Amino acid sequence: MEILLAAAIHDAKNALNSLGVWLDTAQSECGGPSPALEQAKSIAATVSGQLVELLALYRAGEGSLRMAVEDQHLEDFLADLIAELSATRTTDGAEGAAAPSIQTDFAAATELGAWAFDAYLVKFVLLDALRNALRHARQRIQISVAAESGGGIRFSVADDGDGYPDSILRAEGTAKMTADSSGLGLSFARVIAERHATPAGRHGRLELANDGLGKGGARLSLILP
Amino acid sequence: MDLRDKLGLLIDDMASMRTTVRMQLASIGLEKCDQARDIKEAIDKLTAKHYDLIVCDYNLGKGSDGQQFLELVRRKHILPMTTAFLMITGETGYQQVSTAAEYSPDDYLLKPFTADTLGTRLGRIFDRKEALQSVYQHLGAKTDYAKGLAACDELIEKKSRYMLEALRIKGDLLLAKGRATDALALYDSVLQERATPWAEVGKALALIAYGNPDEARNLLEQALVAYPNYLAAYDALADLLVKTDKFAAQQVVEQALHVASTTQRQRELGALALANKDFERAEGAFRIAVDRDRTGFFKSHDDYAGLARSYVEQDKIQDALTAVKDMGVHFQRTPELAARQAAIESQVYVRAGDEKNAKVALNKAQAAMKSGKLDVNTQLEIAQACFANGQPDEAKSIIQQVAEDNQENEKILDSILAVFEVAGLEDEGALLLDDTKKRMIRLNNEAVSLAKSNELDKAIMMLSEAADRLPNNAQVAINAAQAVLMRIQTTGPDMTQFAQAHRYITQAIKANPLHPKLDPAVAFYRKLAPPGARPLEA
Repeated sequence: MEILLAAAIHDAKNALNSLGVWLDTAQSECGGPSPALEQAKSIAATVSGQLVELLALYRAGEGSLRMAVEDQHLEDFLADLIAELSATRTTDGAEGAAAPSIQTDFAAATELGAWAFDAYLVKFVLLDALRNALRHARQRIQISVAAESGGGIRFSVADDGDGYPDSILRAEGTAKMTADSSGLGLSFARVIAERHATPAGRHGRLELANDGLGKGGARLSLILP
Repeated sequence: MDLRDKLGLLIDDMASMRTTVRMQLASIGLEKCDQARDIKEAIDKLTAKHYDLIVCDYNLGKGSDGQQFLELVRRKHILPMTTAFLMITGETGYQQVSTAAEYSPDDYLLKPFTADTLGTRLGRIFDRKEALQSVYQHLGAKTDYAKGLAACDELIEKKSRYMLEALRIKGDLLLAKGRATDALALYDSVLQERATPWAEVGKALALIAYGNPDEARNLLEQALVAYPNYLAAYDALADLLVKTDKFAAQQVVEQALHVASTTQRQRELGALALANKDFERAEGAFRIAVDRDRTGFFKSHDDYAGLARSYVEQDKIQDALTAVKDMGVHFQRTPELAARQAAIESQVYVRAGDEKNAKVALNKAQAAMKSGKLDVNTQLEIAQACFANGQPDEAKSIIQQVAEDNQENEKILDSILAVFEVAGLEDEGALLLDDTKKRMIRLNNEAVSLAKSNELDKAIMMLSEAADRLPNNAQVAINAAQAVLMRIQTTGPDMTQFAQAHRYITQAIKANPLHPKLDPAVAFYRKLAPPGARPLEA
């Protein structure tokens, strides 16, 4: 089953990649900026990310999720993250408003140097959080990294939108279907956080709160041990 | 990052992929790039030229992959640490590359990728290589530990961006030199700052070197709970358990195979399963080792020998004979190979009750032994065949020589015990090893006391006879060199004697470059040697 599922997801991802290439071609052929094509590219990237998350969740359930925990230079990791986000980002925000600006606070990354985690999986958690924040933000979102007291690091993604609905804040640990989210992203984030552990028995965790930007915007924090 | 002056080598079995990546490389400025279709071509090119960068696809066809290739060229020191190695992989290969234990690429890139991403990653690798150049230049086939450690310290002191890498290499160097206390302190200080798997495994290895295997085992088992895919932890744990509990060791290797099935680990599993008399499992493991790799670069005679033994022990005579024959198909025909085949064949015939053919094969193997120097494993195989044919004295005389020559090599001493065990003579094996050890200690002690009572000539005669007979025994060669140097010290410089001392030290370096007594001997030679004497390379 796993091989079949993995192969199917792999094929689907490849198809989405080809789709991305075609959309690029279409964009260069139409000669000017095309909001519709940008929107299409952004959707393709989101679906591709969801497929990765789906496969990881399936594997976690089967006990066959493999993590490659190794030292990552935080500056490099964050630069890759922002570059990947920009490559698939639309210039328009919700309902045609100007796209929210992205603020970064990476001072601690230089201080910390490197940290050990699975860069591939953590990147998907943060990309998903950033895309989500961009969808809900009014004007700006912020991503930051900081040393966690008691050991560990904390990645935070905050926006100045309306914040998480109560149902999500209360549903600690369980995925809930809501109007605009299948809960896949949060379930994935929780699993990836939890699977990061130290030999001393500390685990990573996910924190959701409405103390983000503006008045009660959402903040997602991924704490890695 | 300016890539115009760099020379690259691109390895991929698919022509279309080579073209695509070649174009991407050109677009980011790397114009000079050779190509290789398979491992053989790549090795030929690597031996002929110096490359700054290798870009290698994980999947190389014919059952071979980029990870095997990387391990091969690093192990054989064909690929200097200063050369950048970037692995390209699909989602499936990613898991194998990202969990690779001993030899990991400088970076890996998941397909598909843009030229921009490729450029960013290459830029980072070259930055790192440049920053660590001062360390890397002392590593490789002839590692200079003192200079390597000093270069690491310099980077650590100035809090380089690559400080963690420098600490990691420093730990490896300290462990290789047996400086357990220093290594332990280093890993403890790293772990105080952060949790990271390599420092856990390093700490466990330092504890083992320090003489605390129980705590090391504990630490590794805990590390595997937190990092269940960290192969280096499995490898360290299996190495530790092999000495005390081969059943537990086999289980650990099985778990590691679950994470990443490499030929090397299948081979280890096969050997452990043989030792544990789990012959069906051994057959399966060796079968995979010989079948998977169709290039032949990663197989060894031992794999076929192990397969044949697994069959013999299960009375599958025909299969065993086929395995021996297959061995001849996959390797170059050398006297070494013929001797190994004959020795195994002889044992198969004994098992089948065919005394006549067993004898013919044994004679063939023994003849090969007289006409040239054979590998240790081949010699032990012939000894095993002698036991099987009811010639225990011949067997023991072969083993005696191997044991004296490899007195300090635990792996080989373990193989010797295994030969006795297969012959059903465990106790005799332990006795023989014990006797040999005592005899070698006596030889060295006698020589030392002769030297002290001004009978240097006698000491030299004893030691040089032994050193000439036992090329792999570093201790004997070092003592022989020391004795010759002592004579030079009393009687004055003599070029013939310097040449002799030089030869013994070189022999010791070749046998065991990390022998703790080696450094004093090298220093002694350098102190006495006049300008005209041959310099030592170490």
